[in-house]
Amino acid sequence: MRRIVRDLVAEQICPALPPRAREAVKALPDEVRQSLTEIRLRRGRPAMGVVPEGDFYLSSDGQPLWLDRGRAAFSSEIPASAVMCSEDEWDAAMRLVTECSIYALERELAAGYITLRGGHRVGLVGRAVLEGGRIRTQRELSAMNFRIARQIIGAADSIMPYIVRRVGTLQHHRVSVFSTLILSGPGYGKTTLLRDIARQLSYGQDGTGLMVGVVDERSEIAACSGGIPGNDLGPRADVIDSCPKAEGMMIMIRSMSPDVIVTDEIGHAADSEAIEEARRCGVAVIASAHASDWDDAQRRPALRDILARGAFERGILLSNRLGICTCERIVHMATGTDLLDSPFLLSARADERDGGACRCGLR
Amino acid sequence: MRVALKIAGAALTIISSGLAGLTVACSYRTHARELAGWVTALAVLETEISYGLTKLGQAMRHAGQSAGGSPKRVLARAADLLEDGGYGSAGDCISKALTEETASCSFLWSGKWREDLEAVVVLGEALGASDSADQARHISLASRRLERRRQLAEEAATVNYRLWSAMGFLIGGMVAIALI
Repeated sequence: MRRIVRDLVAEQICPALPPRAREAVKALPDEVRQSLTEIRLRRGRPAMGVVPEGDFYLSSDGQPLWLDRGRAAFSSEIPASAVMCSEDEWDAAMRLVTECSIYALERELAAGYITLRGGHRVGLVGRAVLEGGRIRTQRELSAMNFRIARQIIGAADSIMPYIVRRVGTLQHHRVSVFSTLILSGPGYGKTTLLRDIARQLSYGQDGTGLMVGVVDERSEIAACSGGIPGNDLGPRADVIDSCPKAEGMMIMIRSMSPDVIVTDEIGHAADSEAIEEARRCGVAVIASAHASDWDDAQRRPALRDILARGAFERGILLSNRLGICTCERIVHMATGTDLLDSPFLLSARADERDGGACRCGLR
Repeated sequence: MRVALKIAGAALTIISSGLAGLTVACSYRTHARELAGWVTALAVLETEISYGLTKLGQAMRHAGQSAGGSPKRVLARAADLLEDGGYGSAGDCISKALTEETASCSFLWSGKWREDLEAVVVLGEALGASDSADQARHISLASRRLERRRQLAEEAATVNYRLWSAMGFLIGGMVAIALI
């Protein structure tokens, strides 16, 4: 029997694309469309698709024009069939992405991204408007990057034994979680891993589910729409959406008494304080941060401070060495001991829910 | 029998003419009321946009619902077109919705409709395209223009309501006398 796979790109990304780019994406071969990780639009230049195997221009006939397979790689010549992002296309893209509501997205524009329904992040860059030395908003936007988020059920299966411990007797045990920091460069699966950790802790095993507080500043973990999470985070997860992390963590601790707080992309001094406070309250924190390795993390003042305070007990480093979502290292933070013998690819138990998981480097 | 027929004819003429006069009289009041509805809708739209930071489609729906009448129909239709995503800018959607509404509005005012709501069409071009402070300025400007139109319509309604209420019956009476 043929397995039905959800076409996430056609369902959730295409409605936000301008007409010509939308048609070009719809016309792509199914296997290419379902393995798209990014779609990039640049004003006055060809629209581009990104898959783990490489980048290509979108074409009106649906055939990917690969950039690294032939003359297009180092040539300024743009193939005639490439879909150009004309002014009309760009205006349409802006209207669709912002839903004609620039005023409602000032904070997001200042931060450089908008989150679409389904938790897909659209990065936006243009000319920054400064006020008091800080970015107030961006004008004359020139490029947008649709980053396609996929929930991979089971992505954290191999990780869970390293971050969860059972306390008590065999008959009367409870679960406790090590505070964990996940590090990697962009696009290596930090959010995907966090999301599945949150889901697994929330569901639990043998009645050992935990209250999980998700502080989802960028709406990527839960993909909330109208207050309802678009991703499966289990029965015990509470989500505070679009809230700055430090404040969100404090609100969670005060109001929802979570066992674990899950949050994405920490990196500010205020985050460090909030994590410290959570730890003092006996709440474990599972967070991610941008850094390619531990040395890189130590060079970021806020992360260095967090690590120096010993706020995290486990560290996970992701890379793309064996494919996207390679678990490179799992570290016992207090001793610096490596808990892994060798890197491995994180596994996806099932990809029926959101198609294309296997093509994202997950086996 | 002939006299009875004449009396019936005269009565019919007076009643029909009187009702026509009342319709015209009422339309002056309806006109002022519709413009007042638009002023209310824009006030709610300003609140939704500048304080609530509600997405434009939803904000237009809320604004329309609070005003009722033609603002409700026009703004709900414009919100549908906007959320559908295929029609164009907010201005295009509002213009399209207004054109559809013009086709169904009172024939007495269909000519004046565009003129009255020019401010809304102009506002539509700017809606959603800037920060909340700028949006509030645009809406407030359109609201002031509509308020002036409403005041003029109110003055016209005060004068013309009584005039046309009586005029219809008087003309009907004169026609009846002439026919008899």
